[in-house]
Amino acid sequence: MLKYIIKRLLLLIPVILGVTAIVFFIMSLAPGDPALSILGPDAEPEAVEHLREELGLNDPVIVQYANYMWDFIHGDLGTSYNSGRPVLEEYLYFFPATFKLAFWSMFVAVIISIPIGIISAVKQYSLIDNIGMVGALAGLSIPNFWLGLMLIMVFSLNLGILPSGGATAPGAVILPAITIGTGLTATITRMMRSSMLETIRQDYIRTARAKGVNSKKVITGHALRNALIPVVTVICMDFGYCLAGASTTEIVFSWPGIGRLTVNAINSQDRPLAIGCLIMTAIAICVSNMVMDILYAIIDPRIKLTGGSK
Amino acid sequence: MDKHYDDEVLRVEDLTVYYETDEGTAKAVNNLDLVVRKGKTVGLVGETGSGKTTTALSILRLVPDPPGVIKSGKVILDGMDIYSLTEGEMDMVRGYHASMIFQDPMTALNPVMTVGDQIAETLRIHEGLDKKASWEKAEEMLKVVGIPPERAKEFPHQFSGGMKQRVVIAIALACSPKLMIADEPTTALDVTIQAQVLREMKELRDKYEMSMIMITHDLGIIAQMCDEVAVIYAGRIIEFGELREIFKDTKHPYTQGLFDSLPKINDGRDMLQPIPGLMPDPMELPEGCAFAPRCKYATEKCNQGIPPKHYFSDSHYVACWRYDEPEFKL
Amino acid sequence: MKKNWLRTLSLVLCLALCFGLIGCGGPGEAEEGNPEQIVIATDVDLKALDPMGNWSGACYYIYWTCYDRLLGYDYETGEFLPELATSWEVSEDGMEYIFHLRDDVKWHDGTQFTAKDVVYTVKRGIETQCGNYPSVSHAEAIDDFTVKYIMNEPNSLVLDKQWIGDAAIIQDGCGDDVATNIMGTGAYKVKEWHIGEHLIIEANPDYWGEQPAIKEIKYVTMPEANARLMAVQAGDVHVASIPAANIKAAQEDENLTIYTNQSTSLNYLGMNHSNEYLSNKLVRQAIYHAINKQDIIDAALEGYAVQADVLVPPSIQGHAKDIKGYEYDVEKAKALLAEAGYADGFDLELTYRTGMYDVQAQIIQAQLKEIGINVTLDGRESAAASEKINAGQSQLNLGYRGSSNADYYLSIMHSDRMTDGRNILNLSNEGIDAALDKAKTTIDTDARTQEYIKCQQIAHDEVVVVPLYSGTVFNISPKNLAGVQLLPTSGSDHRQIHWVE
Repeated sequence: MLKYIIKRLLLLIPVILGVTAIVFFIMSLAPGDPALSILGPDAEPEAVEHLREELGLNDPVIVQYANYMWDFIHGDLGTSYNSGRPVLEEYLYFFPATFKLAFWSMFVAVIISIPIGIISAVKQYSLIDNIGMVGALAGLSIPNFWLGLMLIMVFSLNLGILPSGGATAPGAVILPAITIGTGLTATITRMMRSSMLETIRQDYIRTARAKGVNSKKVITGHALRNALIPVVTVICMDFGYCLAGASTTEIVFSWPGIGRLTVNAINSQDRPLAIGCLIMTAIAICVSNMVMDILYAIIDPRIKLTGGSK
Repeated sequence: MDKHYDDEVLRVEDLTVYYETDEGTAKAVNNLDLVVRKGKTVGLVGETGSGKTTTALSILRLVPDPPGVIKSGKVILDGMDIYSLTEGEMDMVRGYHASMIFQDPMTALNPVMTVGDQIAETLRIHEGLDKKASWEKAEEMLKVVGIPPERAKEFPHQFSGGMKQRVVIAIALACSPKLMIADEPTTALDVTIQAQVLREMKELRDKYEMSMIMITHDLGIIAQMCDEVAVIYAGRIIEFGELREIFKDTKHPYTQGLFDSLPKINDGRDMLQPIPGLMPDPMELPEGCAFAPRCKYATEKCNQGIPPKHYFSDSHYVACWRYDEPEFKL
Repeated sequence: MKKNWLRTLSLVLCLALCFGLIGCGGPGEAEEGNPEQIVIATDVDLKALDPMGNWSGACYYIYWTCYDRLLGYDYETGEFLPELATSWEVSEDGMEYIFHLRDDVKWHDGTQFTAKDVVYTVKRGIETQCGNYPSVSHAEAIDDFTVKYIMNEPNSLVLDKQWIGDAAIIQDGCGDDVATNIMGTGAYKVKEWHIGEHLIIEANPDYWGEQPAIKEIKYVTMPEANARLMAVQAGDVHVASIPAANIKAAQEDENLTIYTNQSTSLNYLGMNHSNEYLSNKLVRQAIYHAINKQDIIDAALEGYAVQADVLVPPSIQGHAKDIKGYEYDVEKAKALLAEAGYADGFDLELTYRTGMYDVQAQIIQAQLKEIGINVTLDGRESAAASEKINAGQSQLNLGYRGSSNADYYLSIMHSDRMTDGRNILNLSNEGIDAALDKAKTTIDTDARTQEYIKCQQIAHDEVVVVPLYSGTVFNISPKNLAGVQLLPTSGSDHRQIHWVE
């Protein structure tokens, strides 16, 4: 197991190289001059030129990239143009909020979708099944932006029981978690349902019934654990996605997370911060994928971590 | 209705099971009668689609509903009227009074539970044993079916096909049921393994004094394992008798066709002799004898209705119109 | 079929739920009583607040409240007011400025404010090239409360730069820490700062000037405009900025006051003078006559702006109040176009920043179509738009200026722009160049104003650009809160906020 983890972490290196290269080169192609952005549109040209030299913007892109990677290896992701703080420090400052939101969003998603998915499958074509499926479709189709604003309108403006933004007021995480969570329920519910439907048609379920296991225990004890395997995959992938920072929701709810940080960085041409955020996000997702694979191997005894089935 | 015996373990009376789907209604089992006595093994032989699996499932109320519907009939197992029990009571019956094992061992076991746990589970449900005791007994059951007990903590994918089937048998036997229903238990196994498994089943049956219904389309297995044979066609028993009677004194044209279609080395024949035609579509069964369209002995009379039973001895009967005529012989 | 009607039923139930949610509209009850602390929402995080480096709008909230400057400004008269400097003199040759400083000012940490703080501020300001000390060589402390600026050459803009928000006086030796450690002499001092969340300032009890009416201000970050609007309506926030798109919604709520900075920002339609059509003065005149400025204001800003006739807005010293713009006259426009030889019209491209000028661009496109000019819209994201316009590659473009002095507004017309990478108009006009250059070295305010007026007259006669309207920033607050002052360079001064009742 340890060997496996080390191997996966080593595999991160080519991923990071690839991501940094792509992100770096794309950002260097973006229109606009960061020095001009910092100093303002009417800055004296000499001042702009001076800053460009200082920031190394006049070097060829390859040189800039090489410098960047050299610093990167030493743990220095550069300094944010906007705030003057080290990029890594900025990212780590805002990351916990995103992690908290990701966790609660997944929580909301899971407690809604797993039961509905199971019931939908077990009582196929019933009213619950149909409401569940249509609701899931709605959750997927409703844009987070709209839903977030609607929730603020109803619960903050009209009812006044929940805060309209920020992360410090008590209960501040509820509305954004619901906004993101409902969007995720769609895929998880459908996956749970179809996985459960497939599982209960398996022969070993029939064996279980034939030996006298009652119908409820057949679902929870036998079918569920098998049906959960693909669902766990989806949940982990969604969690990784949440770690990237659900920017739209973070913006609507003024949630101080890295989604918002990244979007601001890109919009304001804060290249070091933008690149740094994107790379850290790539790393976060890789780590979360690795955790997912390990979980997978724990749940399903047929999977061997070093590849192939037993 | 069959004759009554004192030592009946299973009595199926006039069982009719339909599958009602959007495309139509498949009449899988039609007015079927069957009796299994204590300690006896009844072979249920028939082609694919003849209704043998549905019959077996009906005994333990495992027919999927929807689309399966029990239209009529009674199943009395060990003195209990199966269809008047509650779901909870039925759960207690399954695996305890009667067990069922299925055809494909590769998929019959839960891949994420240890083998020992799957056996132990049935012991916990029916005999109320605690975790430790049920595990110990599970290990014993593995020994009984010829698997080293240390392997109880392994998972199904670590066993071969034949061993998996033995585990399935272990599960079925764990609570010493009175009746074991085996639905083509060796069809998916290699011939050599098949022989092993059958031999073990025979030993266990004798040891536990268990009644068995052996569902198969293989006459060789019938010969090896069974005391009595029921031949099923289009959801009905069309011939029933003791092993010797069926093999030596075959009465029904269909049964004869089954024997004839077996390859015999000594015969010197070049071609196999199949029964012409196909089994009728259960959604569109003929009015009269279901076999009449394929039968070389069929006459006008055969289409008039379902043929009644003709008894040749206490144990041997056949459902065929031609036997109205005293002179008729195959 | 059973499954079909169940599916329909569930669809109906879900839709009903959605519409039910939409139906819940309208604001709730406002809070009772006037709180001691007011909450102001900013649209970007307050992360670094270096007056010499960070200039996003929200930063100015802190520069005005927590810092002081040497001078103040009277927006009505255009005169400089004493602040940290009680009086000042300029030498005849314009090479020296002397400021006499107050002696009763304390920094928030209790130490005395002296001339060496000003010296340090000027030194750092020049090092960081913040632009507030044009042509200044350095500053010297004559004594503890007198400071002198030594110039490299005369530059009349110096005093203008001493009252703007970011010309804050910082403490001697503070270094780059000033970005995160706010140490000023101002009416408020920092109470608590959680970066990314909120920044709370409280009234400075030792302030040398008038105590502000509000004891505590909490700045929170709310990037989404709709959320800010709802927060003000709900009473969670007391002051917030909103974009033009939300003005209508704000107008409909009777409990809100809308503020605008009409006096200090100027939006214009720029023209590239090297373009084959636009180089013809008749064409430019025709375009001017074809533009109906009021229509643009009504459509894009719900009428919340004032028409502009010249490039310098009314409240800035140097505004030419006697120059009137060309009237809206479609027939005249067509005639001029025909006279120029383009009776059949031609094609032009209008480059602008999306998210800011979308409606305005469309209106202009429609108005120019009336006289036969087909305008293609080239809307781009901010940086991309700036890049193209500054490179002198746009034909028509939309832009704005906002600052404290006339030179800033008019300098886009200087020929220097053609070569320094800010070539919006591709214009070289000797008269304009001469007027602006002279103004820069003229210390006397009246004489300087004359030069600016001269410049605006030439601009008007030559139809260099079409000034459109002034007013680009909007704030809202509940009706019982007043005193929000929107200032040049889009900052706001929150020191005058108070409850009315």
